[in-house]
Amino acid sequence: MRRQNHVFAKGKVAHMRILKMQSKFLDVFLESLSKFGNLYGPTHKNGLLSYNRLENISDLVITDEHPMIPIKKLFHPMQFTMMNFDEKGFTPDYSKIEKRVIIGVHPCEIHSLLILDDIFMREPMDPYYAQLRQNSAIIGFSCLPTENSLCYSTDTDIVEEGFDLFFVNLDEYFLVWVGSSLGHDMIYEREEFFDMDVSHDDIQKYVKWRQKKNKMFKKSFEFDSMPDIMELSYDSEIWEEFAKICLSCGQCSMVCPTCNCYTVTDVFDVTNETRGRRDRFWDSCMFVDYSLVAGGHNFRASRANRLKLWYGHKLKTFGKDYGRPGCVGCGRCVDSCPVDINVLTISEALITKEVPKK
Amino acid sequence: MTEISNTKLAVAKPKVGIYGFTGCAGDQLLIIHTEDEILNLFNSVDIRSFVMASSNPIEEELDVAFVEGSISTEEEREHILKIRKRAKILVAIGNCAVSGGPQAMFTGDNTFEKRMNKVYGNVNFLTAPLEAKPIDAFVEVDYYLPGCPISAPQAFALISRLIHGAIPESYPHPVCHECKLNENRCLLLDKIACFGPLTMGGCGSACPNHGLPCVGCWGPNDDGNFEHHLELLESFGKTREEILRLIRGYGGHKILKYIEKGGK
Repeated sequence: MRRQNHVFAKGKVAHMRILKMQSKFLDVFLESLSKFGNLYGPTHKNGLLSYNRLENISDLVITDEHPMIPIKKLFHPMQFTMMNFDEKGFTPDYSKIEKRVIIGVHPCEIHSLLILDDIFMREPMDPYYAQLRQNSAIIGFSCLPTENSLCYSTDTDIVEEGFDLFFVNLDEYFLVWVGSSLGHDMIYEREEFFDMDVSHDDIQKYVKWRQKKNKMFKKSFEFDSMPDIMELSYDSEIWEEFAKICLSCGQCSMVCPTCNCYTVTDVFDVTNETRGRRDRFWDSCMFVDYSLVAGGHNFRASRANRLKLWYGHKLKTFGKDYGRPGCVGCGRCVDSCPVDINVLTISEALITKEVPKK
Repeated sequence: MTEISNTKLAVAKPKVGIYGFTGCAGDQLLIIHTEDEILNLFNSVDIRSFVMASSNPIEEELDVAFVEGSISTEEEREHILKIRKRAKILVAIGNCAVSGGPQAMFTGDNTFEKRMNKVYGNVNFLTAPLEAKPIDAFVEVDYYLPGCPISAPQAFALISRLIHGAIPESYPHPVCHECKLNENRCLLLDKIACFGPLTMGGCGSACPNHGLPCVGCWGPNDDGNFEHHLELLESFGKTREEILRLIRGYGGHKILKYIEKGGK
């Protein structure tokens, strides 16, 4: 099933153009994109990859590794002031919204944005997410699988939509997919870098690259059968077993590209009880107060129920509500959980009924 | 500020007292050092007693008392009982007031007399020394603002709610929440004994931001998985005694209580 995409629907071209660019032109071309907005992309920050504003194109790090915190941080900011209020009403704070060109976005990240679009851009639309999204160009880049990549299992290793330009690295040159009219404008600006004739040899090389890539995946899981298995395992004792070791640290939610929950808090001005601001920040269903409601009832006080909800969203329930489960196979939960609770160990345990030993 | 709100505040300025007992006074200092907010605070409330800022305290009825430090002398014990009687709301601020602080490291191990004697010998004290304990060992505490030192955003979020009569919001999340938002690599992945998951957040993951493990100074995150976290740290090669000693180092008596109970 193809998802309807509100952002790119307008700019989508009927037949996607594919061009060729010699690798030596890459930096100059990417630098030229600053005409379309402030450049963002993965950079090294304290020894880790992190999406940030690029001061210089040389700060950009294009690699097969993903930044630890996914691209959602550029559209669904970790913490920000939503609005200021006083006795007369409120004024939304849209000061973070600017024209941006985000470079170096891997296929799983693009898939995660398409899922977040389904959540934040259906009515009632989230104005912060929508404006950040509408003002950002996505320059995708291919990657090869790393240690914990699972995108082959989740069918998110290739993108057909959700980008303005997409670069596939074939060593001495790139094949460049043009995904929107904005992408076309970007190419048009520096036409001299692009070769319009993609030869049969180029296609052969691309096919070989796909085959090589497909063989590189070290890990896989039964993503397609997980919705059924999750349904059958609702009362499984496996959840209790994982609950014994889960630290409820919430890291899985922060690093998952499709976790999108947030909470808000009102901070009152010290001088005036009717004045203040509303702050919003990322939340996680792994935290105990997430399902706490007025009157003190907690729908998911137990760790087992919290885990079941989280994995339900990643492996099952999103399918019913949004067309597919939430996991995009980036492998971040595998990289990040200090007690090895992740889509691999959960799906394996639900199938074998055994919690994998470390 | 508009004229209207000035009149309104002049009518009902809440009476506030800020007190310091045994500790480094860092939490009172932090309040004074919040240049953006301190004048607003002094305009919005009637500060009756704040010895660090003014040497003319007025010791009368209070709407809110903020109390820093642990209780470690008989004189302090008597003073905190008096403050409690005079204050409608009492807030413990900082690690020493909330958990006892480093000075309470060995509290409750039955060696107080021996340790006292070893350090001070046979002296006459101006006021009888007590084994250092947090404020709630003596009086009822309405709100806790943990930290070493407290966080300015948390402190002012609480202060503004209390003086405007709004209900304060708790923040029952582990240090790991802010740590991940600060894009730090989890120290547990490198088998470093970090207490982040057991510890209440609010510090902005101050220690892990510098590659150092959390020592638990904000006190227990009551949703922590105390049992399994200790097993995890033991799997890193630490003995249980070493782990408990590390926790005790920052006055983590409240964390230890959760460990004894095996969680909630």
